[in-house]
Amino acid sequence: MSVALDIVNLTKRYGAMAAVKDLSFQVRQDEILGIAGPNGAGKTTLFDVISGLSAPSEGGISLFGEDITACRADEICHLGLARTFQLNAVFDSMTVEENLLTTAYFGRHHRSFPGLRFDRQSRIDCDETLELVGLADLRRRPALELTVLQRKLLMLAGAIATSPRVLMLDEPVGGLTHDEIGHCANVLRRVRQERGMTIVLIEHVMSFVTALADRVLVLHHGAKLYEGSVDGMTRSEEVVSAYLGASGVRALKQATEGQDHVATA
Amino acid sequence: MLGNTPQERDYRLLAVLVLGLGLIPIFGPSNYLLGQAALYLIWAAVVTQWNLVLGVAGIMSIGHLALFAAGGYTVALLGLYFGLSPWVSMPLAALAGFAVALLMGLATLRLRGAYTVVVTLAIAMVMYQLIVTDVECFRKTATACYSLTGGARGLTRFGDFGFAGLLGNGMAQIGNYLLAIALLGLCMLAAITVAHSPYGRAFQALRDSEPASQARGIRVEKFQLIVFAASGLLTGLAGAVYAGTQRTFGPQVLEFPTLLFLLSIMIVGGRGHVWGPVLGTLCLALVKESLTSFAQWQNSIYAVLLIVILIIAPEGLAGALSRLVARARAVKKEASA
Repeated sequence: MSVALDIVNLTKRYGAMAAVKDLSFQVRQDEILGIAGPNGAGKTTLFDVISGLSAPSEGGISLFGEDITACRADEICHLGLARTFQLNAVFDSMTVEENLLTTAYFGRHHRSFPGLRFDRQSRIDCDETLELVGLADLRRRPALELTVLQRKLLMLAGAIATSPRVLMLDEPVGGLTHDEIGHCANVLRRVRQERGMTIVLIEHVMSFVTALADRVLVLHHGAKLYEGSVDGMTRSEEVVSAYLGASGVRALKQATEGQDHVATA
Repeated sequence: MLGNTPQERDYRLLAVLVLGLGLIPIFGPSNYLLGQAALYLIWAAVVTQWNLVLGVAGIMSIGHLALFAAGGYTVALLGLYFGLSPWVSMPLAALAGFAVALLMGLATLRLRGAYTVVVTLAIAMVMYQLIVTDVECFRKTATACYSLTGGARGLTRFGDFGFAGLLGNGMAQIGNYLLAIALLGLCMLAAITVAHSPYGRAFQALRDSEPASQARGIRVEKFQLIVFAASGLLTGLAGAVYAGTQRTFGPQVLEFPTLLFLLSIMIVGGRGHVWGPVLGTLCLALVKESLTSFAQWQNSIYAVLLIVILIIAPEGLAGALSRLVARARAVKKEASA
């Protein structure tokens, strides 16, 4: 199976502090990789560096074999990598539809000279994405008036509308209720099924990670603490002591057993 | 009734506005009234373009009148020294506005918020200082000596649009008035087209969230420059129309009262709303004309008005109006359901 994302010896320093430290891992095409770790482990910094919003101090990043280490964020988006943000970053002054038209138009490929009208393809992408995440009924609603769940879905839709090959989600279900988390999990499953996307997601909600992820990467102080299966994570003493704790393991076991519940919620 | 899409609705409203304004001379208003109206229409046109930068794209540029002055002085200087009619120098004035806007955009490319305010204001102030301190004798007449830019007194007798010769002496003011309508119509047409186009959405995206814009493929610097340059083009043109209709152009346009007046128009009208500048101008014109006897209080009154609007309707008249319309529609829908 081919490699979607290849991270080699990546380091990001802020002054003397290394937020990401000599980190290497691969994301295989079509897999869902969960990234976990305590607060301040460098998860979001890792996303910022991979998506081009901040430059790495050392190391390399390639996307489907293409070196993107020195690319700008907009170029990386055009190469097929889309990320979401932990804080709700949607375009607040626009309606749901305008949000997706804009990301579909500018995100799919580079526009040297944008036109004065949105093209047909952008409208099609916008409509399809609205259907996919279930926001079609709210298309004329201003983004500012959406609920937390709807805003999360809109941000996800904004990323999907750029037709990415790799989707990176930063805490997609943080702050949502149990049922809402189930809804998001279903949406993501549908995205993967219908679009065949590779997904990397940061999440603290372990039931969500176990329900979706094929593999897990645990970060601690910017370095790799664990990489492997979800089951193996609960057996790793380092992960338990640094991140999960005894209660975390119990909750995780329950979540794994109750996975069907999340899946159908 | 008003068209299917918001864009079509805006075009139709604009057509109604231009036609309505164009019919006013039939009722025989005084020359004073037409002259004042022309002036307000020009200010409205300037604010439509400033609003694209400050309101839609959220770039805190306060020096927009420098672009206006660039256009006005282009017409005045070319008229004075080369005898060019404003009709001829108008495109050059637009280019001058474009050039100064591009410079301003480049200077503030990496600045945000208050830093942009300071730098853009500084550019306008430098321009003002260069003009008012220009006292060296450049052009001698029999009775006096004039500096190159006219200094603090400004420039006069550089020609006009020639409506007096074209339409007859008493009708010149109507010509000026109609030209000002054409200018506002053009500026509004551009603003509406841009606002609903991918460009306008990219500008909005910059204002809403820069990291999110970048992550969705929008190159921030590029669209910052585009919005500056595009608004500079039409603002320069507005400066030309001002110079050619008022037949005088001076550094007063770069002074604080003008800035405060236009800023009030934008905020009262509704920052970022395409109809804000027109509504704001209407409101401020009424305030200004009804307070002519309290001229010394004018700036204080604008300031108070600004504060009141920012407290009770921070989105301005256009924002409040669009919310009212949306609510009325929702109520109507519920009633019919």
